[in-house]
Amino acid sequence: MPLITLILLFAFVQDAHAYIDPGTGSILISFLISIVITIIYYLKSIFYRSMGFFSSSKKSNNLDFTDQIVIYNEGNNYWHVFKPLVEALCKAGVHFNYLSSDKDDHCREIDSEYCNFLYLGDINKSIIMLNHIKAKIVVMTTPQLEILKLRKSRYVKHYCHLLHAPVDIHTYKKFAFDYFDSVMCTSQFQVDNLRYLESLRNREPKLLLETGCTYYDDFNISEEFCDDYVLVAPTWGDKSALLKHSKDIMNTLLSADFKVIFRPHPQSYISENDKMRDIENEFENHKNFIFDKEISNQSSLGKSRVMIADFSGIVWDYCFLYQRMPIVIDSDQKMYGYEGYDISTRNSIYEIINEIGKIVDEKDVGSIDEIINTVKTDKSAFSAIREKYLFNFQNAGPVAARQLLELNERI
Amino acid sequence: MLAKIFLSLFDVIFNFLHSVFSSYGLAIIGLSIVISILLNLLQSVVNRGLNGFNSKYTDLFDSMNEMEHIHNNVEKHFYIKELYKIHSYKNYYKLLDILPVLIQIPFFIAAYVYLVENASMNGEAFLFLRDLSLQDQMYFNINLLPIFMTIVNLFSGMVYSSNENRKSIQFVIVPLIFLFFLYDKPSSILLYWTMSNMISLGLNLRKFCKNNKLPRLTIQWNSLALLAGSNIILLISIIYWFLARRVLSGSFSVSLSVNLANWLAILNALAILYLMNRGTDKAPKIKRIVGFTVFVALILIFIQIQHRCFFDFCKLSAKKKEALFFFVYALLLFTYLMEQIRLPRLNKKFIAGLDIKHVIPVILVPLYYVLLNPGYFDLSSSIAFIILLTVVPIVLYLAFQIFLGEKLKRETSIILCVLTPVVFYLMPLINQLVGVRAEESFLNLIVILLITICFSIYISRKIRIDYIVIFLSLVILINMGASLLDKGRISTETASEEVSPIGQSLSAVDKSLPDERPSVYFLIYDAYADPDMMNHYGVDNDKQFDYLKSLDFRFYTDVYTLFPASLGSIAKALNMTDQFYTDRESREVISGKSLVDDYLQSVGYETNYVLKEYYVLGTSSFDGNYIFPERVDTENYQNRMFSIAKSIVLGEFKFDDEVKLGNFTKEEWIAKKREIMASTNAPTFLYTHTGPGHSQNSGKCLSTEIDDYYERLDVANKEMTEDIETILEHNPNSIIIIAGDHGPYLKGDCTSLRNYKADEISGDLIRDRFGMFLAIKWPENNKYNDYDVAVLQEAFIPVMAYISRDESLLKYNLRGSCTDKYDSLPAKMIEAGNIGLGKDKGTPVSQIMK
Repeated sequence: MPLITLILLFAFVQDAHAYIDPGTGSILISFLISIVITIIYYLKSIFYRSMGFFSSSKKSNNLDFTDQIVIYNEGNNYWHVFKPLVEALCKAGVHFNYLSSDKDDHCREIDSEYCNFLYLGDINKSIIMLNHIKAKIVVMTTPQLEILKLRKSRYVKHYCHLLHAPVDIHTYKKFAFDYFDSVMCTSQFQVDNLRYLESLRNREPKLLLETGCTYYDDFNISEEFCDDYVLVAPTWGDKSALLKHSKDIMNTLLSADFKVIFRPHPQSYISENDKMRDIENEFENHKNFIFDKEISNQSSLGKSRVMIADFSGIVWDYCFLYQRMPIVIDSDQKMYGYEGYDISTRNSIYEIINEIGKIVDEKDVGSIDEIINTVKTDKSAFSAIREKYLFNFQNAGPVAARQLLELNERI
Repeated sequence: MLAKIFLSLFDVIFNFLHSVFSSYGLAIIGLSIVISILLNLLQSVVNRGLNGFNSKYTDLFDSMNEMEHIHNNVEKHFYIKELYKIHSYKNYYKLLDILPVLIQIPFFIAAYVYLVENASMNGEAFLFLRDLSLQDQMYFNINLLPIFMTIVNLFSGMVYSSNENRKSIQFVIVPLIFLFFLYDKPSSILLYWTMSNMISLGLNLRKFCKNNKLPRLTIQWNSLALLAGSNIILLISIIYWFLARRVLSGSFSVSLSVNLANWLAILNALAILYLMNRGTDKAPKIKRIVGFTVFVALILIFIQIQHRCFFDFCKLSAKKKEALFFFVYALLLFTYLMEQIRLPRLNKKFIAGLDIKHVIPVILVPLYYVLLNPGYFDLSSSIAFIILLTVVPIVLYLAFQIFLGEKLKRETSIILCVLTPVVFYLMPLINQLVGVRAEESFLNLIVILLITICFSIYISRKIRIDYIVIFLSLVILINMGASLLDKGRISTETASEEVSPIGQSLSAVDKSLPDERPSVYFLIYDAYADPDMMNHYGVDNDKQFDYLKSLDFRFYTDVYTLFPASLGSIAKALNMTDQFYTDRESREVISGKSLVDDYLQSVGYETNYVLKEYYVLGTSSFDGNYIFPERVDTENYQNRMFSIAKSIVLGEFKFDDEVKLGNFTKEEWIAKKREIMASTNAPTFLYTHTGPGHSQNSGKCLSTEIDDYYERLDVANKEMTEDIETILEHNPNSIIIIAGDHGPYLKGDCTSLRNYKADEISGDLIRDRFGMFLAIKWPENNKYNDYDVAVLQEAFIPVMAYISRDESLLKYNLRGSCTDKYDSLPAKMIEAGNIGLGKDKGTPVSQIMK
């Protein structure tokens, strides 16, 4: 009966959890928006890809190092990473090419027939050229190959990433290593975490080499404090919990008669100049205060007894090289856009600092003076930790060169 | 191609709905509901598929949350791309999410194209919309429907955004865009959209309540809101109907408003059912509903077997559909009340275990009859009637208690002694619904009664007797409302005071007339057809026509009435007007308050009416000189009351068959008529109204319909011959008008073409209802009888002109259109002598049935 059919129909409808947007029109708009977004997405892809392409289309591709080893350095600040490797290669008598985006790259000064230096131009130009380079192996410290503008050249057989510091990969941006064929690691925790990400993302397993931290090769470990300073060395930007609290911390320290060196990240002078000036104005007249603006950090690191820092690379150097106490200000920030977001375990720096330093929650920065006083330094702990966490301490350059040559032969 | 498929889908649904509702407005609303349901089903299927598909990408969607926090757009873009790659997700999969929307687009466009370009809605009014094909301009040229739609939209958007936790300007902008685009569009498309938006609002509200975990409260609020909402519309349609009757004199279809009320009621009921189903403890409720539905189905099947249109819903007359809907409505309302509302504490024992509430339906039925027939009752007889009908079951119950008290369960006693009489009392109504002829009614009565008793006893073991009583009361109450609406007996209008131009001319003529004033006999033979029609039906009436011709009757050919029912037709004729009269107004006119009566009395005529009481029932006064049977006076109410009681017991309730109700025989009635015809106290005016009468009103022609008519015609012809002989013997120089009052209704459904679409109606069907016989015997050849009467209502124009010897009256004519609707017959079926609608539109009436 039609009536019963109607009732049934109506009863049936209640199971339908679909519903029409208000006025159906809203979904029409959603529909249009999705279409537009999809179109924009594709347009964007094309745009970003070709951004630099047209600007230097003249001679984008004459980097022909077929069957040769290429080392690429994006800037002079990474020279100290490559130097031990370059020297080892020269010593081993292997021909290689050293490409740089930095005109003043110290590699120029290397006087060796094996090292072929080439300046590519600024970073954007370099990337365009690198995207079409012909080579057997390319070694670089630049992450995110194939993710952003830097693409894999189809004429390169092997991409190798040289990790430039013993930091955990948590602090690298997303997909930093995914497209490299091999990674020269400094520490075991990097190996473990890279493997974890590989399985998470269903990537082909990479060749993970136990190399070590190359720039530690040239470093003379200084055992003595020059002075009794507390070094406050925040990193830059919003991520820095220390920068946020640095005024409070320094006030506390200064009023407790500590000597304080404030050494901001060089980028802070660019990004947070007002803040820097504010700090300078407030503390510059204090007799126990030093505002360190020098390029090299060696003097400050050397002068200090204790360093207060964020989770940045400097902490590793302070422990491994200077063998002094780092105090790290912890904050509960989410690692959006970083590899750390995807890794379930904590940054291994926690583990290390727990062994030889102190992690202070940002809530507790008020009692930083007392915390410093409780810190005890046991020299043997530092060497133990080096052994535990670093591959080939002060011998990484030759190892890297050997591994590279092995690769070269195998490919 | 696709467009064609969609448009024809709309066409099929729309035409079906239009054939069911016979209203374009309701069809649009129905269309909107059907399409919404269809879309919802489709979308739920698609959504289920999509959910399955999307569940594969849960990890991806989790990772995408991270991307929200990345502010570097370039990085973000490439990271997302990388994530897609990792999860082998293609960007265009996102477009799948809008598949539910894509599905809607063809419907959206089809609805727009179909409704905007649908020419059949030109000039179709619906409720407060003057013309569905135009903008509504309800309030000083402002279109209110789009504004209402926008409000619904905005509200719906509000609920939706709170459901989805999405605050977006989109929910304000989109309704405004729609307002902008649709503001000046035809009200048909706006009606469609408003309805569809209301449905989506309902669904959003439902989700809102679900999200906010207000199950118990939700049911109550939701259902109350729905109930209130639909009942408000019901109320508005009733109020509007009143207004329309008063102000627009009938341009609003009564049946439409009843129809609308029905459909709203059924929607209402469905809403209740639906809401009940949402309750937590479903099983017992559903059982109960199923139980009742089976009961309804049984009754329906019985009705349909009787009616030989098994399971053919569409063939049911409007009246039956109406009853059916109200029945189901009552059923569901009742079930709902049972679930939602605690029974009123009416548990005080009335007498011997009988609760007061058990007596309610017993009181309601007589009240129903009283309200339905105001002309039959005064206050005291109403009370007496109610008490009479109420006392019987109570006495019966007491008797049962005394003699069988211990053997019968209390419930069974109540059913047998109280509810059975109630159903019995309702038999005349049920009989009308079943629509069979009187002699079969007894069988129906017994069968229905038995089914009801058995079912009631059965169900009383399952549910408390109180519920059955409440249910029955609801059925009666709702039917009462429907009948009152339909009958229009609650209207209290009196005849219009306005005087027509003919009336003015007539009052201006010289009243000092010569002595030789001919008597005028206005002899109406109900449903008497003219020779063309008789030939068409195959009814041989030539003998009678020859007889009339031999007496020098002038035959007027192809005459029709402006109103196809007795009361309106005669009232218009006596007032020589095409003005619309309600039944009550018509009765006032007929009871001596007509132009013809006034004028004839003013020039010394004695005016006589020998009628069925039906024609003057419930009138305020009688202004003629003589009437038989005497109009009902207060003391006669008692007789009337017993008459009704008697007809209830007989299972009959035919108000146009009043002769049975008077306390005289047909012979006595004819004798009275002849007495006046034989009177020589000239000048005399006499209006009498007798057979053959039209077909029965069941909504279906009987196979013997024409034979029956022929039989009745034979009786009427004999009566007519004797009438004329009597007149000619005593008053040979009189004017004798012999006429039918409307067609014999022998074709189609033999009644008012309830389920016919306008374009299905042929000229034959129209003439069958409007065409009638007219012949006048003039005392001498004169210039006045040259006047060519084309409609019955003009018949008195030459007669008045002849009597007043005023030629100027001859300039008047009423050959306009049949402007009034009657029951299901639409207005303008005949326009200026031509068929006004349907297959034979434009054909002159004179060419129909040739």
